[in-house]
Amino acid sequence: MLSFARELEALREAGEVDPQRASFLLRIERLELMSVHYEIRLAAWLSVAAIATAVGAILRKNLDRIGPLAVAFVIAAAAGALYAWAFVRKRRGTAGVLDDYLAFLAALLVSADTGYVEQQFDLLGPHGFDHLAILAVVHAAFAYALRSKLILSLALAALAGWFGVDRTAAAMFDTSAEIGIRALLCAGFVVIWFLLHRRLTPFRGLDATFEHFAANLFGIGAVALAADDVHQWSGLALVVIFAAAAGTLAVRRRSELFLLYALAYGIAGVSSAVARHLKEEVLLTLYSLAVFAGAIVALFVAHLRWRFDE
Amino acid sequence: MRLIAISTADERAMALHAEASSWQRAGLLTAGELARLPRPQWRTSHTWTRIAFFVLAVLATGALFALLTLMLLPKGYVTAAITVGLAEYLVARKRFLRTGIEEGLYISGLCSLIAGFPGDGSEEVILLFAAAFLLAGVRLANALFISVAPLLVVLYVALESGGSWPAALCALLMFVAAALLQSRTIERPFLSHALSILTALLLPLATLLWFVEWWPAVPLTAIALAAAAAAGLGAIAVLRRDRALLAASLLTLLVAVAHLFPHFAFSWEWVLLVLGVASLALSLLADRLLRGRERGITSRKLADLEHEDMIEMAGAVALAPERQAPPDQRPGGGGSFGGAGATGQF
Repeated sequence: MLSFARELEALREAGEVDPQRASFLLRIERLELMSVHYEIRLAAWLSVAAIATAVGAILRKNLDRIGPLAVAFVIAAAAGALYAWAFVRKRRGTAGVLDDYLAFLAALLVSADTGYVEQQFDLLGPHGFDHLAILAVVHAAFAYALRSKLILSLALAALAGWFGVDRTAAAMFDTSAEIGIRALLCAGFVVIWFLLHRRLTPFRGLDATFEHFAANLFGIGAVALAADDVHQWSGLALVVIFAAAAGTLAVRRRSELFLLYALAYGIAGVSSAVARHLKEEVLLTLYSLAVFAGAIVALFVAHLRWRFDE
Repeated sequence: MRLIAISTADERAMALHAEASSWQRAGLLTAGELARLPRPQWRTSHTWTRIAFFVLAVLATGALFALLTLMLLPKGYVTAAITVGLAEYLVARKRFLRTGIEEGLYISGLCSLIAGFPGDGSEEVILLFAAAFLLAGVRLANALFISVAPLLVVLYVALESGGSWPAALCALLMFVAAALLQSRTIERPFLSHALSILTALLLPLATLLWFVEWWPAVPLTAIALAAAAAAGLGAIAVLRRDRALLAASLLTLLVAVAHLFPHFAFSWEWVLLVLGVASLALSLLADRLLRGRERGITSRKLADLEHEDMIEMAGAVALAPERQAPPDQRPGGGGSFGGAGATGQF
């Protein structure tokens, strides 16, 4: 086992760390106090994922045995109970991380129920996909009410689904431009929503979720366009604009992740366009070597020039 | 030239600084106190950048290997000489450690060397890869690389023996050795971390390999034995406050429970639902019971993982609803309720 008790004692004696704080940290290092906070969170997260998966499978397999209305009602009741619990805990000021997971489970059950109801009763007719837009709105409302980043992520993912943006990486290199345009439109929508959110709400804790979603959607859209035969030049221009914007934001914010977005989507977009014109295997390999080595140098220089603290 | 690039004192100072950063984020230490901690003069990277550097270095090495192959040059030796040489230069002269660059160059260079050897692809090559991971791990004080080596040895035993029993026994013996070693005080952080990783992984791996003999229907006695051993180890882990042993116990229990599914009269989704609900209830109960504790085991947050928001966001997206083909375009039969059923596709 590893213990820093010796170093902490030395720091306490040298007056580098407050004696009270050092004593508390020494208790941790001597294993007089051990936190299982993350173990419990992981167990709760896996439980939520297991329940959501099981509910999906039950709905799929047991439709004949259970009446559609009964299934819809039971799931809605479970989601309602979980939301009620989360709201009560929030109002009492006793909500913790696990309560956020319970609310997230409620949101997943709402997703399952909405999809099931739409499938069974075909309420939206030919506009069946619109249930994802409804879900995005419902999840967003609960995300704001509970200040939950997890539920907001679900709302934004439902919105992306409604726009038709597949979450698999393969979608980015889809040869049709359609996925790229859809992703760009969705990114634009998320940006507008984010601007309204900044102006109209005081919940700054949710800002990062919007930023990361918008950046990734824009990056996926630009790369998908750059990989398309017809729109490659406009896609390439968008990739360059995206990389410059993300890089600038990274420097301003000292944000390591935005720097990586700029680099990853920049390389993917430029390479998908260049690879189309390089027919020789040797040239293609030389290009790959130059790009990867160049990216290492560029990233390293950026880190030397600006300190990234995120 | 020393075998391990970094001295014990420097490595401990680096590890303490990383630990103290998580204490500072959790509010147990002030920013001023963190700044006063000694910090050795080694270049390192933050997590995401380290991963990016590692991936880029591996890709660059792969491109070099491919280029030499196309040019019909001795690919393995030349790639290894260039990349390992560069990595050594960065470590020894420029004091790079845990930046991701030297790690990616070192391991992919050694793997290129092995891949370039003439041979018929016999199983012994796995042992060479294990040696490469061990060498790179020790030289760069990298716990993950070191942890890969014994796992590759288990893989070799499994392939060479043609059955899973010898591999299970091998994994079990290595688990015992790792658990005993990691329970002692270890000065080197990377060795301590490597032993913890191996303690956590080898027992569930041994259990899984043991169960493979009976797949898909593992006898209940074997499952009960594994569950009892896991529970016993869990109790020891709690008493000794041994996190690695606790992880080994929980993962082994998970392996045992997963093999119970074929024995139930109900279909797997109902069992999963019940287990999920039970596990969620237990998590909530444990959180509540342990929250206020000031001694022993607590559920209080005493450290703050980097980027936990991003990890959770990625997890949420993985479970999110997804658009599927409309009802009139769906193929007949089958179907799914992907994304917690939001797609409603059948």
